[in-house]
Amino acid sequence: MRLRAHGGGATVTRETDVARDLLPGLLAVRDGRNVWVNYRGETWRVERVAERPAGAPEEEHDLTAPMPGRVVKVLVSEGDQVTKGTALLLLEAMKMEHEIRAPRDGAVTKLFRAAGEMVAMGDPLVEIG
Amino acid sequence: MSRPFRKLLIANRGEIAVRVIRACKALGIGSVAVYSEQDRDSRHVGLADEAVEIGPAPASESYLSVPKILAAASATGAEAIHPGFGFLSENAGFARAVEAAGLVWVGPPPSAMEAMGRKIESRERMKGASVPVVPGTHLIDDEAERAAVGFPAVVKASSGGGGKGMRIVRGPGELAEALASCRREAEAAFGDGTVYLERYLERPRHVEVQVFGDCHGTIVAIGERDCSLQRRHQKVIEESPSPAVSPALRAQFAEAAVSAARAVGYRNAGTVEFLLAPDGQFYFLEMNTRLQVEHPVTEEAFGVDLVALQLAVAAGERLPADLPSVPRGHAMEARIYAEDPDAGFLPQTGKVLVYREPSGPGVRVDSGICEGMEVSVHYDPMLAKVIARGTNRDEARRRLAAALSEMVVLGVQTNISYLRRVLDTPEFRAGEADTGFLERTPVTLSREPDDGVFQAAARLFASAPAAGSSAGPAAGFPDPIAAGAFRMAS
Repeated sequence: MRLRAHGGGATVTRETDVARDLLPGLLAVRDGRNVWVNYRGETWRVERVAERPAGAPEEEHDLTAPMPGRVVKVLVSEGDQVTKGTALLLLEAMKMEHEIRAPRDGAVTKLFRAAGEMVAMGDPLVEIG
Repeated sequence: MSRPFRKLLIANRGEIAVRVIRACKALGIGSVAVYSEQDRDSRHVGLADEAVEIGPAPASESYLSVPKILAAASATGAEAIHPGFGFLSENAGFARAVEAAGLVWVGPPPSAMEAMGRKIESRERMKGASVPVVPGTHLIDDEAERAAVGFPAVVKASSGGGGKGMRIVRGPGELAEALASCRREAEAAFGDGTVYLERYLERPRHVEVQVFGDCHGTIVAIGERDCSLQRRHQKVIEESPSPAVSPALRAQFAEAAVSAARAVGYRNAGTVEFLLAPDGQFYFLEMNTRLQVEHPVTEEAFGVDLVALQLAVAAGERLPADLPSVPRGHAMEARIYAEDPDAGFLPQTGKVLVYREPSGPGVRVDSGICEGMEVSVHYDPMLAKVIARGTNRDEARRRLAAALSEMVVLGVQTNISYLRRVLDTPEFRAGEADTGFLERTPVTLSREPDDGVFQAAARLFASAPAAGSSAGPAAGFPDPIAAGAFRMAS
């Protein structure tokens, strides 16, 4: 199956087989969407990703909410050209404002949320074409 | 130390509530915890002698509700209230209400809290006491005043603290957006949207002095802490003593901090924060009129118990005459946050499925979490602090790094790996990091996940039929208690 591991400063996607023997000292637990793995002082959150059709791009197009919170302000409009790092909207959670930035260059093709709306983790926020 | 009270209520949650409950147990004082509906299964609730529910999850309806906290104190017969930090700890109105209810407030006089709580006023008071302050102005609409501050500048909330309600402005074009954002955040977080402008010093170190006053007129300084390792003005790693402070400079810091505290009639524990410029000049930043998050590094480096001292002084006792002014070693603290360092450090939520604390010589853990506990959006994402002590700085640093690699939190993303990598940067190892270091410097990767990490995950995805399950202990997966607790709660 195809899995993606986040941790240690990187995200790594790999095609993998089921383990026959577990690494000694490895600790793992599943909470539904994620498996959490600790091995030799490092922790990864591993999720299952869809099999990639031949020729499809690696990156997904939607920018999703990395955490639950409230949209304070939307800083771009549909049709805007943005470059990687452009602030797209402000999200408030845990009493702090966080800037959501464009992961790459492109055009804003769709805005899913308006200022004042609550979002759950994983909700799509902005589509960059 | 004799027992100052029979029973104390702790108006807080998380690791600081746990810390104060531990002090109560050591002194033979009964402890009363308060908790929101969300925190029913929290660690502080289980540790206290008594616990009172004070309302729904939002802090405004529970931990910030003065009437509910006073009612809990009255119902349990508590004689004193410790506010911890955050929440109501710097709210002079709360301190007055506690005293008006005939209870002992474990903190400074409300008048001192007000004088230092409004940053604009405190700057003026410090100038009057000959304590150096950073050039700045609260007359933001006045062009001449703004020009005198210059750029880069920083917009700060007058009622702010803890890095909230602050924006750096590199040039005039950024000012309007920074003011608007800062006012919004300050209004939401502190109910006061007043902001002011200060010159932004380049490459300063953040050095703060622990002060303590009793009600017999004694005010002392107990060394300094260096909190230069910050990200977005949130402290990441703190240590004591500061690698940038010589014994002579320590004496100057102590004198300025005691003058600052004396100028507002200070009592109990407080922290006077300074910026130390590369040229050796230092400037008053603000005073935090409460126990500080990073107080354990002072405790470990100087061999004192600041919470026990707070309780004794609040009960009217004199400060001991033999408090140390010279450190007995070096101590370093790392703050464990529920956040994702690889996704803009955004706060993370989830249920703690597996939790293992480090231990060993010189290692201390102040933690507010336990397995089965939900980390929610309602509260600050700081989960725990790991503190290490050594005979010298490098021993403390190595012990802290080793402790972090022993610590396991599964179920919520944390910054543990990031902290370990920060401790290992050449600049930090050399004691040369300033407050801008973390934002300037990309922290290197740890290591790629082993094949076995993917294979183990694949096995759980393939075999575990439902959410919240794990393979049995025979397969090398965690104790079913962790998984079982999750199943029950979900």
